[in-house]
Amino acid sequence: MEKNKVKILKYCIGILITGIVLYHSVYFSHLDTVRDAADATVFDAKAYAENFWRNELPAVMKRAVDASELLDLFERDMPGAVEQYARTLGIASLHAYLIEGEGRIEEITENGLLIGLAGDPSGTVLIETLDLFGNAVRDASGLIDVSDFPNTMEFNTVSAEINRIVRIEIAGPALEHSAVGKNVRFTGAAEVSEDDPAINPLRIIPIEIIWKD
Amino acid sequence: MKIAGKILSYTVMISAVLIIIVCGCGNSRDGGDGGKKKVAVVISTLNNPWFVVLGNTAAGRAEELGYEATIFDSQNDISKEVNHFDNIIAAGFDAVIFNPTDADGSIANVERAKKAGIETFCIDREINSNTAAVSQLLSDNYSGCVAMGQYFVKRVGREGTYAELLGLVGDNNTWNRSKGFHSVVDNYPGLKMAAQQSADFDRNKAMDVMESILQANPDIDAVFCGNDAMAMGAYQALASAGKAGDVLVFGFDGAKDVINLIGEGKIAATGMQFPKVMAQKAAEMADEYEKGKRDFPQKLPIAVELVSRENIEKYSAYGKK
Repeated sequence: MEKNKVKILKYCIGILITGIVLYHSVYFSHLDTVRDAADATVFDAKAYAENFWRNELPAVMKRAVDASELLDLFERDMPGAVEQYARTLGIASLHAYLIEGEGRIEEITENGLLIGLAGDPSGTVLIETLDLFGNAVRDASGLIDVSDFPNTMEFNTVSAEINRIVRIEIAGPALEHSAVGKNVRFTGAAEVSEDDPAINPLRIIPIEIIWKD
Repeated sequence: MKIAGKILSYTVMISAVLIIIVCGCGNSRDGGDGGKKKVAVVISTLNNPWFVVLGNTAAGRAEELGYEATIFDSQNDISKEVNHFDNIIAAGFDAVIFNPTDADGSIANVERAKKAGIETFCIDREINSNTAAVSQLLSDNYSGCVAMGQYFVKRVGREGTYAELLGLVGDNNTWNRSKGFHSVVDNYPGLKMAAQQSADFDRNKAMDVMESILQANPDIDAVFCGNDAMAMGAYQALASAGKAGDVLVFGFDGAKDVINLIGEGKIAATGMQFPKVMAQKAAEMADEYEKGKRDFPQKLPIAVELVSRENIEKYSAYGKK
């Protein structure tokens, strides 16, 4: 009798220990909790671009070069333009510029607003409203460093998100408010190759458009 | 006194000899034995002429700078790459110029080399780490394919059907190229992608994949390929099907075959990467590191330029004329 009791006690202790070990070996979580945790580690390009657009980009807008001055410099001294005003990603002949200016809407084309620059009869720029691609805004700002990203896909997704903001918040309303003859003030970004200075009109991705009348 | 002096001079001599031996051993990796320092050039595959140019240029530049250079071919196989790094570490190389096979899988190799005191400079293909390699010199694939996408729309028009041949799915270049292209093309709802399949950056696989795509989609207008080897495979499949003149082929790399076919009007365009620039720069950075420089950008993008019938006269294989 006594022997049986000891055996039962041993089995109970064995089962208890096995139970404790098993309980602490495997953890169960709700699938949504696991998914949320995984998502938290994924780079949120949309949030990054929103923060860049609203909180960081405005601070560097004052660095923008006057469009007429830049066009003149492109013609006279392209290396000087690059040295003074360009931001360049790595080793490239394509450079990004922050640009500002004002003028009159001469034409509304399929691609955007053709602006005749004020005080510069030969100076025209195209404010893009259709082909909003590439890295002009990201790179011209000089605020986003590729080396800060663990992979270049994340870095490039930021550009796509910035261009999405431009499309929704700037290009869309610009088309609604535009009419030939209206005067505007603009700030934007452009990519220009130093090997191909035939830039007429200079194509600008808009960052801000202010209607003057 | 004389004996004490003798003992002292013997002790000094033995110490001097020991110091020379110890210093000699310690400096063997620094070329202190009069031998050249060694640079390993590890290339993902030499089964593609573009990578042969990349590897040969890196090795050639390293040799010009006074190093002994050895090229290793990983054959797009991570296990072969692991073996190469084992050998590189065991042989006491001084630096590695590295074209990885896998953005995630190759990180461990770079970290092992670093632990062994061998610094790595990545070229063309990226690893998903900002701390393992000294620097990564990478083609700006995304921007190159934004330009490609714009040219694609210009040539194909805003309406049409196309196929896309992707490279290795584990390689960031594959997705940077695809995403750059789609960041443009997807804005045109009239452009429909009929098929998107991987052909692993391989010419023969691309030919097979293109043949099956053509069977299911005989009326496509264009095919965008993530590299020139696949563009050549796709072109061969189209030529065999008698459709070479009907379907526009777009590649990426700037390889010799494709540059020639752009000149002949048989391929529409490619994105010119500059493998020689990338490889030379990496060898120079490795040399600068050996000489004490430590301030390197973690990522150094190299611009990609669009090559088409409009500007083909400016370019030759793998670079500008």
